[in-house]
Amino acid sequence: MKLLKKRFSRDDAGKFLPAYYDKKIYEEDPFKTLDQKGVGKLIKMAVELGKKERPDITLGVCGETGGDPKSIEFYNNVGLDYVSCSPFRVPVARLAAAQAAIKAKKN
Amino acid sequence: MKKYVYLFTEGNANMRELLGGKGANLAEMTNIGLPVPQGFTITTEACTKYYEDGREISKEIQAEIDKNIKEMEKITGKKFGDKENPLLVSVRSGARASMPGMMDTILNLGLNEEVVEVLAKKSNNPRWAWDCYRRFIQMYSDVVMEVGKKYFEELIDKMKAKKGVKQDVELDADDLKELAMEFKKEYKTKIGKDFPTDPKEQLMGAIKAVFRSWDNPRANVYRRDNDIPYSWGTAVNVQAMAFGNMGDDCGTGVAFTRDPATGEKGLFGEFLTNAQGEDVVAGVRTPMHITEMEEKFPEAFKDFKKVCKILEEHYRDMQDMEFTVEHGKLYMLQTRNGKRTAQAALKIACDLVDEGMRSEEEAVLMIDPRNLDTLLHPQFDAKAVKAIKPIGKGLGASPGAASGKIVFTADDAEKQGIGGKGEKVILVRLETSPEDITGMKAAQGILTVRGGMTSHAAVVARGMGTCCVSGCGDIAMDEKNKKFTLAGKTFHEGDVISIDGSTGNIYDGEVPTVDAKIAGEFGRVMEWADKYRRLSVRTNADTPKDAKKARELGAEGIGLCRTEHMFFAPDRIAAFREMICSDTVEARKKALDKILPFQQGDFEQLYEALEGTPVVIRYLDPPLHEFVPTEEKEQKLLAKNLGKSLKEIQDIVASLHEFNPMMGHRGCRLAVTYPEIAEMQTRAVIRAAINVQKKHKDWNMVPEIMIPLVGEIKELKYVKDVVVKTADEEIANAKVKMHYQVGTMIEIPRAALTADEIAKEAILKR
Repeated sequence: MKLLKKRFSRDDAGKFLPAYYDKKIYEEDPFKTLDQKGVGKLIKMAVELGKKERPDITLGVCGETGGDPKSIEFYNNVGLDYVSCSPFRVPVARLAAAQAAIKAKKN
Repeated sequence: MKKYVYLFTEGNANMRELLGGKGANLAEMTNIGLPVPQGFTITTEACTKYYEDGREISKEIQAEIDKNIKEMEKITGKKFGDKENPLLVSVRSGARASMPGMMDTILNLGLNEEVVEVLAKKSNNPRWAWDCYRRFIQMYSDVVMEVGKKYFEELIDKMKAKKGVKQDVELDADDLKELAMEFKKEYKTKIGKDFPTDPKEQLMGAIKAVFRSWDNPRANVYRRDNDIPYSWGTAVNVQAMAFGNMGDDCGTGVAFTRDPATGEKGLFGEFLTNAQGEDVVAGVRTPMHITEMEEKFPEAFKDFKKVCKILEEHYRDMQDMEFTVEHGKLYMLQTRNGKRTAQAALKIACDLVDEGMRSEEEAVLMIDPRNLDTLLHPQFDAKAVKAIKPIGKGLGASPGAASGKIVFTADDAEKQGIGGKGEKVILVRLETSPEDITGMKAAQGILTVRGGMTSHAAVVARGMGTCCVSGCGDIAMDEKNKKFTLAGKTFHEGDVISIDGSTGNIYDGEVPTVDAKIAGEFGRVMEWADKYRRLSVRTNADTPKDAKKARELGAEGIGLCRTEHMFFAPDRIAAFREMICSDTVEARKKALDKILPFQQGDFEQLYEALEGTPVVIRYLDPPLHEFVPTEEKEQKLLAKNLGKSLKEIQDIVASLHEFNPMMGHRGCRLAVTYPEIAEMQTRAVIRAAINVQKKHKDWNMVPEIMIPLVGEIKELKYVKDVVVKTADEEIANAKVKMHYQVGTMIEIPRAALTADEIAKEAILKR
């Protein structure tokens, strides 16, 4: 089973994002990293519901955030089994996954 | 009551959030007994409060600053504006994370005409005193009052011309005094008020300027690019001056404990005698290499080397330091973990482990994963880039560097680029769409006018490892006439441009590139990472080429293979269009049968590239209207092939129009209406897996099938039943044993909310 985030159309966001930056509604590119508060909550819910029903289920995420270090930390902590990202992001994801695991162990 | 100001003796390195990086480290250096001119830090919370209070420093905070000035006067034995022993300070910004773009430094604050005379007399060095004063007026006007630097620089140049000298240091006390007076006049002309004489007024002005600079446009852009929240705010450091410009036994410098470009251990930096602050980096005079400091100031150099060792051992990381030597005595002005290239980061991490300073786990945490990108793509030669100016800037959407001839259509890219004439081309488009893929592959780089970091062009380019700059809105595009205008110049097809997919910069003409090197440390750090991580890492790949690359880079499987591209290829699109326009199940099956061997071949190649690791295949997802021809020429051809009239074909195309295609007839809904598509794809997947399994007995082929856009358990069950029936039939016919998985993608909110129900239908078969 796979999880994916969706908030608004990435191909159209260029029309309104500059105004959102100017007005400080957004400080950064909302596509770069997972929206943990909103979409993250749905992901967490889906993981919990899915695992409760099928403890042996394999869960992963694909899409751009699968290669984003901040998002990977979240995916590690909610208990996904894998992240999937574009080929050139693979080393980034391997390192970020290690950092997430080490940080989780520390806390 | 909240405390907004801390003396250096009251802080430590752990108070970064409150004191900023610079303030926390000045406190830490003070604590470990290093020679630091004393002072205080105004907290980041004071900055936040400044904005809350409508860009004013509250009475409460002003009183606390006053109190700390008194403390500082006690510690240093000097006083603001004093006729005997005046206190001069530097004012510097310092956020939690290093933040270029903010107001940086004001030196020699506290000077006025009276104080400068006192200093001149007391030091018996009027040249120095007046040099300090003119620098102060210059910096204060520039960074606090925002009077452009250039006016003052012009005055200096005039003075030098008048005296017939080349360097600032050749100007004498009287020249500098005259300059200071001219600066003040310039200030009054520009601002309309006299230059402030009260040191406290000067200080408040400088502090406000630091706070204000947190919100300047350059700082905002930097923050957005580097994930630094606006809410953090900046701290302000007020520190007693140490003077590097009091004569030839004085100087100032910056140094790293290891080379920030290569990571090589050893002092690396620059140094200038009789100079202050920015002189080293400003390029007014050519600085000396740090090792030459040993000859000039043997004692201070010995101390400095000791300090470097103490700091490295204390922070257990490469340090970037600023220091000043006043009459042969060393003063530390700043230390921080130094910025470094990805290559240096890897080398330093490995060396620190070998030197016993860091554990493997700590070393893994020291490297910014985003930096690794730069190691994997060819780069522009740094020297060449330094010498030229970009003509525009978009988003660095897919790292790498490319030069080539401009083409405006995917077709032209295919004809001229890789696989065609073999020329280097840059595909320049308003935006790209799925039909452009083959053209994008043939290009060295992709430049778009519209679209963000996750636009079609950006995502596809990253997947292909092709350099891409997206969303350069400054380009005035004229796709029809195959030309665009940027930075006042019109570019035509065939003109050469260069784009940098890391920085987003666009250059006119060709820029030489250097190949990416993967040093030995890279592999070592990756081994450590693999040892400590729990998450498995797969890749999104649709083609054997991408899959192979990802495997080389350590991917442990494919997490998403989209199959729509497999229908777009020229040898299959005709058959698929036939399927879409057919009236009967039989006719549709006949058309799909033509595609089956191609798709099976695609899957076999993917499985081969992934060497038996898991591969998730997502079934056809996009709405059908994306596949049918829009041009009449192609519609006619399709009509002929199907024995239909052009009108009939056009009616079918029109009927596929949807008001909201993203929510329309796509995903598993295609398989519900045309189960034969899912059947064909299942046969292709299972047959491919069986063939590859036969070739590689030691691999354990377990195909993973993903049914897209599920929101209702019954639709998943319906499609799954089709898949299972077909797969079992194929496996039975082949007389083999094979496990396979059927799952789905949770991509609509309803699926997330009912994930427990949906999980019931996700299966691992036999």
